[in-house]
Amino acid sequence: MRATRHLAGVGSVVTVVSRDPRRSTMVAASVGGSAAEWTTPVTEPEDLADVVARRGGPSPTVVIATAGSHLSWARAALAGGADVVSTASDPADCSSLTDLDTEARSRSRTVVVGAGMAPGFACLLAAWVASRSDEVGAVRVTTHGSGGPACADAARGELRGRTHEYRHGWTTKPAGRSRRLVWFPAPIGVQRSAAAASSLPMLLAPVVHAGIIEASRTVPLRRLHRSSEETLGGLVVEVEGRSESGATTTVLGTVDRPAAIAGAVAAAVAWNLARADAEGVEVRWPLGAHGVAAGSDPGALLAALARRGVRAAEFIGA
Amino acid sequence: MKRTSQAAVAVSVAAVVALVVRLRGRGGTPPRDGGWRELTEDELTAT
Repeated sequence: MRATRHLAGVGSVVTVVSRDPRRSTMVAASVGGSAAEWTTPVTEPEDLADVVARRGGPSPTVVIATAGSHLSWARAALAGGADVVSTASDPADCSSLTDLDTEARSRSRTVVVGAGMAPGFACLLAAWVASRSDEVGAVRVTTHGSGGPACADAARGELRGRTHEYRHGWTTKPAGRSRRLVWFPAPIGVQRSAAAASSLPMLLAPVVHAGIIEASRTVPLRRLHRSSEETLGGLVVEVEGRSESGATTTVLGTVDRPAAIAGAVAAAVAWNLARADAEGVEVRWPLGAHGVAAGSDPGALLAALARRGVRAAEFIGA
Repeated sequence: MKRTSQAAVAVSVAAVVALVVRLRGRGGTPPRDGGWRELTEDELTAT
C-alpha cells in the first residue's frame, strides 16, 4: 500500500492487483488520485501477465510486494513485457530472481530484486559509501524490526538456518550466533545482534567489492510478535574502507518504520524504471536481474528517498 | 575431595560467564562521544 501511495503521489498511473479484489479496491480507494483497482482476482501468475498486457502502457513496471515466493510472478510479468521490482528478501527467492538475469536480458527488461529496507535501503547506503572510497574492506549491516506480521515471520526465519556471507569467498555458518552489540540512532539505541541468513550479501557483492560482507539482525525477537506496520525499526551500516586520508570507518544509520522504508524504496525504483527513457530520471539499472545497489547512482536515489521522507544519518564521533 | 569441589566450582563459574556472554553479546565498541548527523541531499549527490 505504501509503494502505491508513493507512486500515485508523484502522478504515476497505478493499477492495484491482488489475489483478493476487496484488498485491491481498499488500497486503491485509500490512495485515491491516479490509482485504480483491478477488480478481477489475480490468483495465478498468468493472470498478472494478462493485466500487464491490458493495462501496462508503453513501459510497464510491476512491483511485486506479496508474501511468499516472487519468482513465478516475476516470470509472468517479464513474459508480459514489464520491468519488475521485487520486495523479496528471502535468500532462496532472491537467488531464484537473480537467476532471471538471462531471460530479462533477452527480453530487454530489468528485474530489481530486494527493493526493501535490508536488502534495499541498506544496499544503497553501502554502495554510496563504497563509491566514495578507494577500497572497501568490510561491510556489516544490522537490521532491527520488521514491517508487519509476515515480515516478522521472515525476520525470525533469518535467525534460523545458515548464513550466506562473503568473507574473502562465499562462506556459511549457523544463523543466530556470533552475537555482538550494535548502537542504533535513538530511540532504538544499543541492541544485541546475531548473524542472519539474509540475502543482502548475495545482492550487494556484485556491486561492492569488499573483502567481507555480512548481515546480522537484532535479538531477541519477542517484540516482533507484536510487530505491526507502525512499529519502529532501523538499520546500521558499517563500512570499513580506505581513502586518500587513510583507513576509514563510516557508520550510517536510520530509524523509521520498516514498511515505510520498504514502500518508499520500491516506489522510487519503480518510478525510475518506468521513466528510464525520460528526462530527469535519477537512476538507471542495466538490463538483467540485479539488486537495488546496481543502479547507476546510489547517492541520487538516496537523495530522492530523502525528499520522500526516508533519511539516513552518519555517526560522527569516536 | 577439596580439589574436586574447587574444580567443580571453577567449571560452574566458567559456564555461567560463558552463558552470560552468549546471551548478552560481545564486541561492538560503545561510542565514547559524538552523535548522529543527518545526511543532506547535497552530500548524497556530491561527486
